[in-house]
Amino acid sequence: MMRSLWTAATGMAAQSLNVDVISNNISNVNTTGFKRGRANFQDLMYQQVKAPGSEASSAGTQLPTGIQVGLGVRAASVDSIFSEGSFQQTDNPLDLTIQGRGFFQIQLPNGDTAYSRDGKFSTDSTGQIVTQNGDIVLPGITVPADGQAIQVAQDGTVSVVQPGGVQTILGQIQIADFINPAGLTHLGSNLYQTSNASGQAVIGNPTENGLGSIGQGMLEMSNVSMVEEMVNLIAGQRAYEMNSKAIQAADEMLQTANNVRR
Amino acid sequence: MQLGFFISGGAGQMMQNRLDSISNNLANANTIGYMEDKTAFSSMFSNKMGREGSPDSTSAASLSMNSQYTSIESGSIRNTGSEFDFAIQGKAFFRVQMQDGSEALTRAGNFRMDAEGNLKTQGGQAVLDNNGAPIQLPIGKISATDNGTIFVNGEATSQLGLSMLKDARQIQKAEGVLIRTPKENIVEADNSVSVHHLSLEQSNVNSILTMTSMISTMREYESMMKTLEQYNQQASQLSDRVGVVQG
Repeated sequence: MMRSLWTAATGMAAQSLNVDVISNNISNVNTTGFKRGRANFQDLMYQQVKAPGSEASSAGTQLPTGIQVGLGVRAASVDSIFSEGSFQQTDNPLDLTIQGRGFFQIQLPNGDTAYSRDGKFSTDSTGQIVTQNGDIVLPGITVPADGQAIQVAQDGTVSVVQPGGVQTILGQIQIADFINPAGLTHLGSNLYQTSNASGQAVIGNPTENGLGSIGQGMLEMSNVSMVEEMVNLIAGQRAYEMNSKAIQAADEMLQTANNVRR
Repeated sequence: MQLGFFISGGAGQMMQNRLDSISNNLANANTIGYMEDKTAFSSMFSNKMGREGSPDSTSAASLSMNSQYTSIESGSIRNTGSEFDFAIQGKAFFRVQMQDGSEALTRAGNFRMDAEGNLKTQGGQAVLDNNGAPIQLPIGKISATDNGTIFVNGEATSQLGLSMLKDARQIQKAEGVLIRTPKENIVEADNSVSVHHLSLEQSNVNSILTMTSMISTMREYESMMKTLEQYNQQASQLSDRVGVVQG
């Protein structure tokens, strides 16, 4: 049977994954702190039909080029692109952004630490600063009931004004950086977890050692560019179509062969 | 048996091979840094009929796909905004190290990092610097200049190794958008080459031309099969009719 049938099928499978990733990006275009994904592809192995440099004649001449037939494509990875999204002013005192490198540290209910770029925080019934899912933002800062006018400085220091006009420092939000953020595992809900590929979290105070600074009253929007995603979607869809045409062509050729009159 | 039988049959086989190669190009139309394969046909042998040199000597040839080459033309460069993306403008390649320690080349600049900060290709091969050593980067913000020097937090840390080919035909493709070539065929890239950071080179597959050649391959195959049919008819008439006295 013809190789091209399967070769084109790998192409269709790859493009379908491509469209899946693009759809996820588009659906998260308005998700705070979302980082767009990208599917990376690689060609598959090559079948060596004739090696370059093999003897071409009994006189000892050699073939300058060989024949290698490629067998298609496969997905190499789907990685997240951690470029910064644009910032949206909200004026909510617990809407925080990291301008530059770093992730907020979030404590999951099971005690594990997850990481997030989504700084949409609130206080819970005890006054603790938590995420939209109610997970504690490390290192666990509690806002007193009589505290007013929460202030978060660029270096992550959280302070409130208590009755009598006394300014009290409650703590400092620390952020984590990774040598390879693209290697983090996605947990959903805008959370990431360390993996073997991401490296260990390097924890520090904002604005120090190359870490970003904290912005208050702002949210980081997703870094999805709608125009780019639409163009990628078109390219992906057309590539899918072309591969289906290649299957059709192979099929028609086989049909022709079958119909040769005996 | 008629020689034409095998000529048209063989040609049909070659058309199938060509379609295989076209399918691979189409399957990789969106693969970063992929270089298109092109197929060239040439006649394999000729069979002289009649006396050598006589005016009525005829020859028949059979088609053979005896060469295939990889087009190293550049694909278009697209801005991606991802900090591990590099594209080469000009006919150069990134140097990468295979698992067995040998060197290979690639135009796919969609690199990634591992947990130790080593710059890797998507296939996991180490990306080499201009001295042939694997590139390792510290944690920090990455930027690059157009000669391939990589800066981390504004400090120059490494320079991407770029190589050029003396003879672009002497290459062999390998899985993972890589090419292998003998050491003697590699030279250091000259000044005509520049590196674009935050960008990627698309595959150089021209989809319109590829679709066109797919259609023509299919049609040529059909005509070869028609020719085969003609020969077949001729042969059957030969056995049916010759020697039959009509009337």
